[in-house]
Amino acid sequence: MKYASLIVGLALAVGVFVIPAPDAPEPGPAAGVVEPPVAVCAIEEGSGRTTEVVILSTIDGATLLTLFASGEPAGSIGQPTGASGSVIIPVVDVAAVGTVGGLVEVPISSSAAGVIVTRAESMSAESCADVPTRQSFITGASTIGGHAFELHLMNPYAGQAVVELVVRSDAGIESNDRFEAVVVPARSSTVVDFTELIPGRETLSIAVETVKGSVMTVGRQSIGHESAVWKAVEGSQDWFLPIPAGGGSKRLLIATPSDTEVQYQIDYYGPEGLEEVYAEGTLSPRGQDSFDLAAITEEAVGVRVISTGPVVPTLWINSDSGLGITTASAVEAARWFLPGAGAIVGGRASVVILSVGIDEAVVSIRSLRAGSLVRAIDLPADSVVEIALETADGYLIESTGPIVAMWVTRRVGAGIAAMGVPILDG
Amino acid sequence: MTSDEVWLPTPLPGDHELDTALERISSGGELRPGKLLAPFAIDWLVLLGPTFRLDEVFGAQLDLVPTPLDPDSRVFANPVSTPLADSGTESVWLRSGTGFVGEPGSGRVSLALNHDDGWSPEPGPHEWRATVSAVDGVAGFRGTTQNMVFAVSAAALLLVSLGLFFVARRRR
Repeated sequence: MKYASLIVGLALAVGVFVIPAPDAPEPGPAAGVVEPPVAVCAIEEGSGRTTEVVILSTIDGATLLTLFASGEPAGSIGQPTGASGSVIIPVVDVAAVGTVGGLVEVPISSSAAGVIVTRAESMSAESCADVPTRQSFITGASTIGGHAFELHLMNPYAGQAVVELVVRSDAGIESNDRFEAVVVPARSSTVVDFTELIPGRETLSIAVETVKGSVMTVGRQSIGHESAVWKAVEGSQDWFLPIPAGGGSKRLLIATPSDTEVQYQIDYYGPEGLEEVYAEGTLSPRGQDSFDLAAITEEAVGVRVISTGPVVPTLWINSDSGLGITTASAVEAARWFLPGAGAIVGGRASVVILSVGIDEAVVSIRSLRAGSLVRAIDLPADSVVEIALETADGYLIESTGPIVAMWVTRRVGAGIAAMGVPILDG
Repeated sequence: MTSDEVWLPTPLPGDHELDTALERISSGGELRPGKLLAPFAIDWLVLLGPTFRLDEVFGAQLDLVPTPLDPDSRVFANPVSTPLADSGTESVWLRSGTGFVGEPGSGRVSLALNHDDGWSPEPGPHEWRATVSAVDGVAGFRGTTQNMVFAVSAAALLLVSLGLFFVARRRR
């Protein structure tokens, strides 16, 4: 018995030393970062407004538009992009809503969505936001007499979001407890009415700093009956902006969300080609500069803004053809979508293309609709061209070289200026 | 005991499916991670330690609900998860021993477990999952003979060791 217990004890002891420990778990290779193919759109419906969501894609695939409000989906509708790669969904077909957010699920990342809002005397359009950022910035707003501005914060996700607003006006940094810890509940929107909070400000720049969750932001400016919508974007140090022909008040605004001074230079793509360092300057912390573009020329031109810190350039047009506001593009690309270009009945649409490559580019302009048409043009290096567009759901611009594309639509007393959506993959 | 102190069994098809789902979620490419995890009957996700990539991912998704249950971790409820034993009807099947019990029916019960022929009655795979007939209102599991022998042997060895210990004490 003594030996038996000794043998068992020895066997266990040997087991302890001989049997190897399990291999420590090894983490696998880090998953690549992929953005889900979605876009978040600012919807305005009712009170005489009609909103349509335009979805463009490089493939024929399924899309799903879901409106979200008060923590719940208010309605959704799925439609394929079809053979043309485009579909227009009237929001009234989805649900009876007011100012809400819409989540568009697209079939592939090489897709784009945009929103067109029309009413009897005005119209506006803007592409939908795809990637939430920790900090976004919007400039070009005003609340002086006759001007109204509101910030539309959208959170389509399952968790509550909280943001801080850092507001800089011509009066300096604005202090208001309504700018602190602004809650955007899950699947909801929050609208901050600056006209009510800080009226009489000629210029406003707003940094939206996300404390918790994810938020997409648009600004909505009204002047009388006219209105414009444009997205808050992340600051960057290199921007391109094609500028359409036309007179009236046409300004380039450059503002920074930075707490330190930022130096910038403007390269100018004019009728004579590229003129580097056309202008330069220094922005004070969270400051803004403004340039009167119409005073230089009424032709279609372009600018590149390079800076030592984060800035956001914005194009601000107010003329007989209405109000249009859009942000510059931080990227150049060979392919661009123009969701909504050519889709407004009674409007004269055109595309403004800025060639930023070192060689001449061959650019094809494809209308996306049943019976698509393609037109090709040669675009010299460092040049800008504005081309009229036909009726379509939107356009696909493809080039042999890097370009930047935006579109405008004009009708009597109403206008739109909207930057295109670059296709960076797929 | 933590996962680095045990020998994990060889991954089965369900484990590979879960691995693929988790990889897709952590990449940020999934808008509805709750729906993706639902077939695995995962009701809760808990993120521990300092914030990392998944905190960012779960801040931009549609169906995992942040639930402030624990101040030291980030807890997400999955309201779209399926039950561990899903009869496909309103009948609820609950865990009982190594199996499940529920209302008898003519359909089949899908178990969010890797398929194994040890399940009864009438086991059959559905993709990687095990399914059984709901006819008896019971889903039972009987392991392989080899595994049962190992389990019985371990119990017998324990009893023998205890017996030797007490006999030796008495003789002293």
